[in-house]
Amino acid sequence: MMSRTERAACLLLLLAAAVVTLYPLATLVAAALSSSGNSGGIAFSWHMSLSAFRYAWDNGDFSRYMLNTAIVTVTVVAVSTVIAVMAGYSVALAKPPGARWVLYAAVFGFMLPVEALIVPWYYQFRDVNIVNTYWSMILPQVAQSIAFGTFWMYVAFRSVPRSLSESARIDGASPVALLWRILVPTVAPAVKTMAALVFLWTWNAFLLPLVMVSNSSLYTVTVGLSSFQGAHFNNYSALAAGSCLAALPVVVVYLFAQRSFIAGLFAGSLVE
Amino acid sequence: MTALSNGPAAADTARGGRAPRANPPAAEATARARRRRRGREWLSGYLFLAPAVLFLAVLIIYPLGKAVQYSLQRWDGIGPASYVGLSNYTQIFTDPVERGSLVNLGILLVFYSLIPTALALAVVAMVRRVRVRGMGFFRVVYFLPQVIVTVVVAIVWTWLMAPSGTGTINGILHAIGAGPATGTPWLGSFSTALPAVGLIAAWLDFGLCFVLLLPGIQRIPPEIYDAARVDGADVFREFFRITVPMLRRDIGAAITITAVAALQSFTLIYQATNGGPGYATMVPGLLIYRDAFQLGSVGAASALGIAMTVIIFVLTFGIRALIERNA
Repeated sequence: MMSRTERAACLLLLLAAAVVTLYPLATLVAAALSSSGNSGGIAFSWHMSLSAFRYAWDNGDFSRYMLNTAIVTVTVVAVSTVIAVMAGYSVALAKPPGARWVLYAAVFGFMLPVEALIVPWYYQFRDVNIVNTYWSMILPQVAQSIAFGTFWMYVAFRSVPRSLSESARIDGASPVALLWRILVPTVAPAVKTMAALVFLWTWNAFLLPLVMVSNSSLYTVTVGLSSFQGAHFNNYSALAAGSCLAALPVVVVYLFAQRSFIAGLFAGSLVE
Repeated sequence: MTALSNGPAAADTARGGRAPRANPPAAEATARARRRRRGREWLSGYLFLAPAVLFLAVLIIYPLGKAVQYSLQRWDGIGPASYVGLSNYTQIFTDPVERGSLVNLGILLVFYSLIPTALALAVVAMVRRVRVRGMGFFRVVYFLPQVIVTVVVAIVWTWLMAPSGTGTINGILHAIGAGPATGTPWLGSFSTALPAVGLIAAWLDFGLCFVLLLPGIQRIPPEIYDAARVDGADVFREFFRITVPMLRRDIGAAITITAVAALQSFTLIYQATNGGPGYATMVPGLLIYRDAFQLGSVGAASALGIAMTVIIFVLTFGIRALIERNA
């Protein structure tokens, strides 16, 4: 019903937007694959080399940074997922008196910016001597992820038909078995989305590790990359390689679980 | 929950003891069993809730209280603190740097929130008219910037916005004959730094808005548009009379989510400009970091943090109220 020109114009515009989106990322990959020590700015070269990656991994300590980030991220995702699933179930289905207040606290906590809590967190941790440890990066992010996750799982469990948990209970299933064997599998997509988002947020975190950790052997990849830029701002290929390493894990998870990521977007609008 | 909400009289009846008509023994046994089950369910409910409550109390609620306390003090983080009332809050409006950071935030909100939402709205409206295939591909591509580590985004864009070089914005402008060999340092000059950061933000958030608005527009029944066309509505009337009102809630969600992202622009600004040149791109988040951890003004930093929290709540509920009122 639309004219061919209109179709063509539309497609052209969509493609142009895709080019604008991808161009910066393509220059990054191109610079990372150019030969190491390139200081002439971003440049496309047909001579591809992995030397910049090797340099970033070994000399740039990115192996260490990636390991630290993986330790923090995996711990935060695992711990907060388990705790949030339990809390979400409790608030949505078990409903002991007073549980609603936990839900309100979770929604409230989810809306608080890191910037508002970073100062008290720092002094709280300084008092118990855990600044400059993995704990100082893990604990606050577990708390924030629980705040989001409790609300997220509450929404998911609320949509589970009441008859499912009733019949399981009459069959004599213990609360733990009911939750993990029967309810969690039915809300698996929501759990997956939650885990994907917490993974993204934790891997990407910058202010928290920047403040908490001054010992470079504990740097996460974001802080490591930032300090690497300070020291190697002219070594474009090494910096680009480091950037690719930092970005890669989340991009891979995104490409495999993009539906989960996109479903999670609506978390923000649900709070409304 | 029902037993509680039914009030004491109903609860008594359920308990069976003082009820005027005696329950048949079987029913009473069932009621007792149900009560026991409910009690057990509550107990397990509390146990399941306990770790979350612990984390929320110790690492969200308590520190927030601490932040409020600090915001009423003058404290350098080491020595004794002194109570200073609300002066850290009034300082937000009187101190030129703090006030300037709020003005910058306001300008960035346009780039983070309004521009990408408007662009995405225009694009999804067009996509709806033309029904292009391969939307899945475009969706994945446009959303990609959202999952790239922010420090990386900032590094790439500082390169692209360099004064000269092949592949940079200035280099491309020069190549097509639209600029000098060495152009403006977009992130380094006073007049362009803030819009340049804004441009990065718009690049980041376009895909987010696109993905948020696309399902909404696909939900609008095509008959509505057909009817409008029969009535002789052109593209613009269609857009403002149907698309925008029907997508009200989705647009509200997009604006809210991106506006909250604008408030949390710390990483991008720290890495791309560090607030400079001068204070041209200073934002509250970066000021909190500087005040608390570099300048030893814990009170001022905390007051700004509380102010940011208030702004987030006002924006979120304000946008919602606006949308519901116009419903």
